[in-house]
Amino acid sequence: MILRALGRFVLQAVPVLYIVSLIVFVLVYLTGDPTVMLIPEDATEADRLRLVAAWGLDQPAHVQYLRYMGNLLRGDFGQSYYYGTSALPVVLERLPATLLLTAGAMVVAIVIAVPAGIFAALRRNTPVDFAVSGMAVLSKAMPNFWVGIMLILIFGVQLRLLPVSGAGSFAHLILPAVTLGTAFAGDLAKLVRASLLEALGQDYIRTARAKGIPSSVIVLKHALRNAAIPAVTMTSLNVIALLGGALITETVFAWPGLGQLVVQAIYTKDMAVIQIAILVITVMTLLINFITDLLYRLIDPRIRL
Amino acid sequence: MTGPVLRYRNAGIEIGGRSLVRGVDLEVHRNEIVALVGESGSGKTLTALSTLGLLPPTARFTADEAVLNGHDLRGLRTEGDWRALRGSDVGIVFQEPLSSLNPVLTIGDQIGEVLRYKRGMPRRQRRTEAADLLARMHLARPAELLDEYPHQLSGGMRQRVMLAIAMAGEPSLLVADEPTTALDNSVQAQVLELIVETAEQTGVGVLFITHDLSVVAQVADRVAVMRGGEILESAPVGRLFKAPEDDYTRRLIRLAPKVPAVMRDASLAQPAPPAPKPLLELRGITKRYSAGWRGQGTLALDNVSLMVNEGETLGLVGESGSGKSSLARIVTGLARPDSGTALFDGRDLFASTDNSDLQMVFQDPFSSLNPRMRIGDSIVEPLRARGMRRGALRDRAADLLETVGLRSAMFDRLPHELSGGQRQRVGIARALSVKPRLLICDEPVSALDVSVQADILALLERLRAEFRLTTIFIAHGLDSIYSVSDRVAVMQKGRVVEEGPRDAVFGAPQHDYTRRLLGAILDSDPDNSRFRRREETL
Repeated sequence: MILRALGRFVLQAVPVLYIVSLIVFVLVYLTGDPTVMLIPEDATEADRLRLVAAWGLDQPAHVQYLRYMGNLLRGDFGQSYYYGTSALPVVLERLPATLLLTAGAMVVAIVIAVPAGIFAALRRNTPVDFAVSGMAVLSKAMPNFWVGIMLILIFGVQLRLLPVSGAGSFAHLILPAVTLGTAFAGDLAKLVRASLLEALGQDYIRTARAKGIPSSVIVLKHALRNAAIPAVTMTSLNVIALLGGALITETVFAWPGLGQLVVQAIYTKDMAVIQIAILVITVMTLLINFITDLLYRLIDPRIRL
Repeated sequence: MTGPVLRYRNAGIEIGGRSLVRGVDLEVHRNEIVALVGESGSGKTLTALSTLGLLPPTARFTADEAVLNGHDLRGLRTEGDWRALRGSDVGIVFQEPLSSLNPVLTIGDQIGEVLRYKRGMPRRQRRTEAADLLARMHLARPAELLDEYPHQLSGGMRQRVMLAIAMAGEPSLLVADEPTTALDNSVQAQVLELIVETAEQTGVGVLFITHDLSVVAQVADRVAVMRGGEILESAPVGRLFKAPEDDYTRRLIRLAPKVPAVMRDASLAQPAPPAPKPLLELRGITKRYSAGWRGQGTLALDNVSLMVNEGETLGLVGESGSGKSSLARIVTGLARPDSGTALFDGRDLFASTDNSDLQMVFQDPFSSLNPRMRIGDSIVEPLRARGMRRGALRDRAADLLETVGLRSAMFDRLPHELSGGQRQRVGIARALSVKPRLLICDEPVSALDVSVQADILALLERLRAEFRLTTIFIAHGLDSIYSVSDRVAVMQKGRVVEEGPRDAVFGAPQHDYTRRLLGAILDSDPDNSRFRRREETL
């Protein structure tokens, strides 16, 4: 089963990566000649042309493309003009911070949303339910930058409990993870509530009640697992969105993630970095989809891989 | 124990101020099967659910006496109160085994949790006991089944698993709510036998809810007939069938499925009417539904050849998955065959674009009508598509409504305002609107109550003569096939295994599968029960 899923993953990944690399090449080609920006102001036109020739930019598009693909396949991802080093390490260096923030945000979201959703479903149309709905709307309505700044003011400036910028320790992770996590928690809680209510209305729940087993078992074992698929889907989409970088939160907390790097690369036309970042994000997205498929199968045995 | 396991006196159920069940007196003793018979809306299922406290939250249960296994049910209010009784004092088997089992938990888990919470068994013992329960339900390889999921099992196996779950807590009362209605005929007999055997071996009292009097005749010791929330009549099964006191009971008994006499005495067979000429000729129809990439798919129709003569009714029988409906879809052009030819009145059916000569009546009159469309519009929609003008359409709809026994004033009604029988009449009117020559009825009565079934079958019979229709009548119920067909074709796993004049097929079946199907017909005569040996206590 795992092998078949893995086989399908590879079959999926190869064409996707190829198409993405093609799109990246076209984008770079269309942005024009990078040498104009890169040569010193006192360089002559002859100097520039030498650079163009050295980088092969005077070749026709298909030749440039073949060389680009050849380099990619050999693992040569090009030089970062801005950092003056190989582009791949520049991007990979940022990856752990992004992964950490993503994971932290999801843990916060799940820890808040799942219990909240369950309580709202079980106490349907009571003040508890309304309170959860209200909080969900609020969490969506408050912009990230504002929540981040408020958290900084309260926990960093006033209480002096947590560091407010940078990365490096678990304490650094808390505020940005809470900022992002609470933003997702609202939607997730509403989804958990709706799917759980749907599951609780099914025939097999009536069977479970007829068995005389405790209510907690009925909800947590019989209903919640059947309600989990939509929540897993939503969480995986959120993870994919966050892997592309959480620019605003990263900026507010000076978190050294991919988002900041990519935006900076765009400003400086650091094409090699942009290319690598896009390819890395593509690979991560494929991986998350693969893991999501495995989770589906784990939750529901009727789903075949 | 001597007293009854369940005793209701003057029990009533109200929902939202409406009294749905009134004055019900009921007793079930150990090792006794009490059938509660009635049509939809009779209150039989509500009565059954009340013994487990599974009524909807808005329902109010009242009774002068309601005792289950020594516990007074009237004092139970919360889920917690009921939890102590459910599973250990009363178990239940529902109608639809697939949706009643949790799709994401293993069979072993679903049985095991009853053993854990009701009998306090440790984990290892639970596994052996669960396997033992499955074995007692005559399921093969019980130990392996423990790790399987409901979707991997057949319908009959699922219902056996449901029964194992219900019996796992060693209850005194087993409630069986239409336990075989969703199953094929041959499987139905096996499950009924198992329920009877379970009652005899464990001494559990059974409250058996059903609409089918042939099932009652086969399994019950005593019968209570319900209608409109009241028990009309209650008697030992033999007396009820021989000397029914209520008119309604008499009508139900008259309409109940019976084994055709020709099956007992083949010499009673009548010769088939002469066939003038074939109207529809199918040759080598094959259809495979693919299961996606690398999947083998399922062979729904395997080289089917079939002939329908002008003016006759061909009964098409087979169990679920035998390909009956696939064939109907192909003949009406709703699906394309992979190979094969079809001639309709001499011309190539698959090449023609206008198939209005062939119309279909569907099984489920609820879902086959657009809920937002007035029924008059539904009926004449095929005519509008053909460009008939508005005024003419309305007249035609009124005509059609009256033809099928509805008032023309029903034109402006919406489907939800109609009863099941009325909706099926609308479905028939729609099929007739384009004046077809061949009518294909796909299980046209199996979603309806017994007494309504009889009316619809009579209507179809009348229309057949009036419109000189040729009919293909698809059903899994052999008694309705017998009552309407001139010729019968038996399908199994996508093939026609037997075809012939009705009395030849019923009286002298040639194929093993036909014999098995016929053998599964239940007789509405308690003296012919093959499951229950009973001492009649009149």
